[in-house]
Amino acid sequence: MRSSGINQVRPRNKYELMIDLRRFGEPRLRGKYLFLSRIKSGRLRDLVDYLHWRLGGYYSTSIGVDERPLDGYFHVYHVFVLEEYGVYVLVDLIADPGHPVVESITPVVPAANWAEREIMDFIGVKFRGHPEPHRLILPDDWPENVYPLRKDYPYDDKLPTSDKIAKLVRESSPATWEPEAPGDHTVIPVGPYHPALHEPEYFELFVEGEKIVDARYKGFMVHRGIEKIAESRLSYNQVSFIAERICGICGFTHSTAYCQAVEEAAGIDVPERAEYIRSILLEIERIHSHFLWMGVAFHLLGYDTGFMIMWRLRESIMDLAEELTGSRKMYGANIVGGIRDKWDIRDDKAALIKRMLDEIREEYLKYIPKIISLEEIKKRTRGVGVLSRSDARKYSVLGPHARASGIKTDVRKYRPYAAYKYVNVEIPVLDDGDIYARMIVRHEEILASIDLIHRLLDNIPKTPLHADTSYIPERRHGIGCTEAPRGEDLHFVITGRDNKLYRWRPRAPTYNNLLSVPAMLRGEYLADAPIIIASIDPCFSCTDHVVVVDLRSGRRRPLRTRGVVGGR
Amino acid sequence: MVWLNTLYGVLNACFILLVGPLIDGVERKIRARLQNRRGPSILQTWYDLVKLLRKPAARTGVPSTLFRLSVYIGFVNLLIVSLFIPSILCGGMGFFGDLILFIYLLSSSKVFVLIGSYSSGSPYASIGSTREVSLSMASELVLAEIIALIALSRSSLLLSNVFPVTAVLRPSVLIGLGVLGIIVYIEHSRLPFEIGEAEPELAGGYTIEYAGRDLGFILWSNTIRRTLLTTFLIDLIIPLDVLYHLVIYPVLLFSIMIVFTAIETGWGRLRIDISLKYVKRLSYVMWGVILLALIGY
Repeated sequence: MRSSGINQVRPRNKYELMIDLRRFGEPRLRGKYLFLSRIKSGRLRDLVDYLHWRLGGYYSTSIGVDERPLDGYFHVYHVFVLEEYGVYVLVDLIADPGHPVVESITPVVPAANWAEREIMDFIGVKFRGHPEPHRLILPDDWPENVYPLRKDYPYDDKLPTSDKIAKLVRESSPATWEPEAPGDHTVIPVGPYHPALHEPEYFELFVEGEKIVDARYKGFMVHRGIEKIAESRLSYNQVSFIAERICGICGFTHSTAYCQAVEEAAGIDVPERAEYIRSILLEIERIHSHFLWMGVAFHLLGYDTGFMIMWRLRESIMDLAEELTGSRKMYGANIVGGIRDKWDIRDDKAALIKRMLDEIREEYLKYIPKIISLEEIKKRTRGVGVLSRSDARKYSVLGPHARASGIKTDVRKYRPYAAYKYVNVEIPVLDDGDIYARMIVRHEEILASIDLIHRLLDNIPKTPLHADTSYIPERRHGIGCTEAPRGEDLHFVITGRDNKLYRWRPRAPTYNNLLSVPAMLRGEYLADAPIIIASIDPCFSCTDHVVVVDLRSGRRRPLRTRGVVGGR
Repeated sequence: MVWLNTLYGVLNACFILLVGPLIDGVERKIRARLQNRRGPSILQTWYDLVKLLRKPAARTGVPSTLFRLSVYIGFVNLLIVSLFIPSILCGGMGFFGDLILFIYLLSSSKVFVLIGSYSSGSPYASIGSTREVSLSMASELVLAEIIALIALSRSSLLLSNVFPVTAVLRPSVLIGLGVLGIIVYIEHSRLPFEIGEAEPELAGGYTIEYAGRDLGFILWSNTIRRTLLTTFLIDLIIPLDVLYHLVIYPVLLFSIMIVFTAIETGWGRLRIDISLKYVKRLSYVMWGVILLALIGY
């Protein structure tokens, strides 16, 4: 694992990188994507080690695709982001349908743990050498050897009744897995319902007195499989709306990332005005999300006055969003190729928005310096929940969480999309890695975002709002990345026929950030557990892809799309 | 005049029982206004209590006798205290050694609830009650020191002889009263010292396993304990006089509670180790003050 790349000359650009990577497999460069297929046997872990630990890139996520109808194989794509070279390296692994096993990269990059397990659950590709090859997402009573994201599994398959499930489970005895508790400690369950978590997730804390010895996480309790609906029966433009409903806080960033992925795949040029409007809405969403987070954080620290102040400010931001889009949240503005006509920002609206933003900034600056200098807020956040820079690299953490641990990363700055190509984005980076640093990073980002919206509104050009999207070629890969309030939000698509996606995989930033939480909890006080968990601004629903599809139908009926995307 | 004293005691107890939840309602209103909220009616705590007291107490598993009875033992303890502490009327006290009885009953009422809660076996309840016990043990030490100081200054342990302690104006007494104010604040379990319930951390802590009537009595006891502690502080300050108690006492009671509430809204929750450090410091201060009293200041 050590041998590769030490004496090698570091490649200077993406072309040299491509030549350099010939040592490991067959590279193919297409725009921003560097596909690396036919990895030489036994070289995979060296390659991953080289990309993640030596070249300054980071592991982003892995996607499993059932491409048997296309070329007869299962594919696994490991996505690495190399910001310095401006490319995504997609390590393309092929698994034989008869014996779908590939080598695991988790021993080299722990961040890949969940993504690989997700593929094992959904596609049924096994990973050789994975340290915890257990179920992650599928419920314990899901029958063995049924893989929902395979193409031969129908999207409207009715789940067997509970008797049949019990029978199937008896027959197949899936490997349900209970981790062993470390030693003889009290187990404190946090979740699935707990006042500190606003969504159903489950943490197990092993404590000794008030000290946390170890922590475990079980999640994905609300995974509903919207990927399957999107791939099976939604058109390109409908998916944009279901993508927005992945999250109630950062929905627009999901729909933008999705649209960008399709635009990338199809080579659609989005008009500038649409890019500006997207960026403005994204920044509004960021401010909203950070206000919300600050409120929650103060509440968890017992400082309810701060909580009330922040959530009052959040109301103003939602009023502002309502002025622009007609809704306080769920803007519904994105379609593939641009922005819908009615969501244009007229000049009089722009002036109003600027005035409202100035008021919000003034109000915010009146309170926040006092709040963050409060003695007990500092005492409970400084030096608490520390994530060192190397640990942050190990788990590939993203967004404000990474920036508070001294990692300079921001999709807006280093992989500019939408209108961030035309303006300079200030990114705050702190080295402390504690909760206080995360709070300050978000504080600075609120101010920077307000500033950014002003600049974007000043320069908004007059162009059409959307491009022609009548032709979307088949079998194209696309990655759409946005800087969500919580970090890099990545959507991976493969285009299909009949105005439909072949594969869609959204990966929210919390997916990567959550992996670092147990590491931060170890050795801390139990009283600090809620704020440590909350300090990454976890968005469990994003991670799980929750979406309420139809309340009445229950689980026996196929999932319906009416009411969510308003069509069909 | 035993019967008159008894009557006074009963009337005082009624006053405390009724006014405790009312003060809590006023506090909630003020807290809401300070946080730019409208807030509920000032009778809201009473509405809550009436509703809870009418509901059956749902208990999980097979509750121990301790779990079932502790709430009521705690409540009765407080009731006894309110019988002999002069509040709205000055009377009702006068048996030997009742300063110590006062402290004993007041702290045991809390301890009973905590033990009962601990016996439920819920991890949240045990952590909440452990926290609360360690904090109140620390603060009770300081309270004992203050009692010692008062007894020293007035050369008596009888409530009727002790009140008001301000009759002896010494520096040590004044500092002692200041420290008592802080201890009363801590014993009120207000933020930043509200760590036993700690809603966002422990989901209610020591109250988590209680419901319905049981919970109602716990909440009622908490408001009564707060009122009694504040009453004790006021009794040490104002003269033992009918008019003073009828007029000045309620004004002071409400204003102290309001000031405490205002302080509370500016704070977040401290961790148990940090809050214990604060209380420990107070204890050191009190040893110094007792020394001061011993040499006659």
